[in-house]
Amino acid sequence: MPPGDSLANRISWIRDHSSQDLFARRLAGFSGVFDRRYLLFLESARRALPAAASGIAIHVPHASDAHVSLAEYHFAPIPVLVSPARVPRGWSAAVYGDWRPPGWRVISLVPGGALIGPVP
Amino acid sequence: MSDLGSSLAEVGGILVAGGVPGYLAASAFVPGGPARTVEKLAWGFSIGASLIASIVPLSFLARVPPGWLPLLILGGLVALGASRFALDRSGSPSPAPHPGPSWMVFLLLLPIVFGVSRYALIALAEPMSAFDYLGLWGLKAKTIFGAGEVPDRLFSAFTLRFSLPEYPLGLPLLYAGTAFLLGRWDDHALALLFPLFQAAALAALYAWLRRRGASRALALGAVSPFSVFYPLYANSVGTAEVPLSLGVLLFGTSLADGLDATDRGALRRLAFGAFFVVSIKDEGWFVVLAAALVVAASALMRRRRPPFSLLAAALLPGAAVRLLHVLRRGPMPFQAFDFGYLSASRLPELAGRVKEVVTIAVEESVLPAWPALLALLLVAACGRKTPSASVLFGVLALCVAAYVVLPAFSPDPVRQIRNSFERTVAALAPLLAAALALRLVPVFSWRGAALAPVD
Repeated sequence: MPPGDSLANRISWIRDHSSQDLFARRLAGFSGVFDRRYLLFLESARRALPAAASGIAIHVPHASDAHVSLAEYHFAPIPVLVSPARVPRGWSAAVYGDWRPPGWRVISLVPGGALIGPVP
Repeated sequence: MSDLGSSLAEVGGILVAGGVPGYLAASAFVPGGPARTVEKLAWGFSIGASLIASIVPLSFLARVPPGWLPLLILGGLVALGASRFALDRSGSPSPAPHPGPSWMVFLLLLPIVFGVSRYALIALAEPMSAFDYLGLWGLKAKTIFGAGEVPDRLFSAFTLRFSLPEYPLGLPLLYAGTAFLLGRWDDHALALLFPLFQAAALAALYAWLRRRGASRALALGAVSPFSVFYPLYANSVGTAEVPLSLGVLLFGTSLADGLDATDRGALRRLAFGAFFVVSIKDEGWFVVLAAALVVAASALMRRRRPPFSLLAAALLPGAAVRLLHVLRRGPMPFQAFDFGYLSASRLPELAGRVKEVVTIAVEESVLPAWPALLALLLVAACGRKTPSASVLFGVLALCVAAYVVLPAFSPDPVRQIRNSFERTVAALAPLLAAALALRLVPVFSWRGAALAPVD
């Protein structure tokens, strides 16, 4: 549950979550309410990214502005493109959900989706 | 992994470390007055925040990592330099002979304590998540911190085209500077900045009112409604409106002091206020330009020579901030607005758009707030006309008119006016409070000569 509007809710939210790590607090807040599974997917994909990744393209079905800004912020400073027509050369790619784009193979499964690469 | 309490303590320590040289430097800006320490704390916090933000580009230029050593060097230099120009405390107005009963002061303090506590709870309840924070201010700051530089793609990348690349970087640099000092990115603990921005604005307004002759009760009474001003303090954590409102207050009160020649530090404060407000948001530069225009026009209408030193103190720091941004990123047009509508062939279309946004602003923002607006008019009517108050009202009128009309130039005027009008006008609230106070102080002051110089 997010902190809610009332001050009493906010106080109890802080009391209940202050000992958690930063990502757990974000997941429990309003960012998580928007699409908790998506936020989990972003964090899992971020952790699975190679250290030298020059960018990541994320395929999100029916991406809203909120999906885009949350992904850009979450991966910063790594550049992000959400559901691009083409993936720039050298970029990593991930897909949110169960759908898999043709011509791509799964490199590793992450909660909520998968990291993918072009079929050789 | 850090829990919230220890992270907040660390960020609090960083802000104190920046605030100490800021407080020392404030001696060169703040004159004597019955609430000098409160005023120095407010200005010291603002100078300290500017120091923390400044170490980021300066360290990048010097090719050293932003951190404690750059802060120590920069803070030391600023504090030492300011000590040579410290203002004399003599000439301070004597305390009010009838400060009001202590129970009244206590009662007036209650809503202020409630307002600050409430905003602190809103700010600290979760990691910052406002849409503009994620898509704009936080995104730029996290990119600067993570990349260890101000990368070119902040200004040119297709992926960041919606992050308003033409906007100034003051707030992202403050976030990044704090994160460099912290050694990690913590977008929950960084939210501590916001109740402190609010508290600094309230303290600055209170102390300025006291210095300009208001009794303690009158000053607290003026600050109280501002502390619980919902349109400014709702959904604003992480975005630029609250720091902008602090900047607008510092600039506006200094402008009034400069116009009334209250003390030797007025123009210094005006210069810092301009630097601060222009660093936060493009709207800050607009406030400065509007002020220069109104001051110059007011002088010419009274057949007087425009106050060139005051105009220079207001315009030059802002222009310098703009120039530094242009040098780093190159010239960049306002991407949010298409001024091609000003061409003769498109003027009829523009007229229709202006009518549409004005109607929305009036129907959805002005009419629902009519009782409060009427009350403000009555309060203003109780006061006395003063030149500096008239200038501040002129600046307010120009800014509000621009905030109504500018959305007509955007691709989606209806969405733009609904998204931006109320919150950008809300950031002007401290300027309105200062303008009203300038009208009221001569009436309610314990000194007849409340507007006389104090230094």
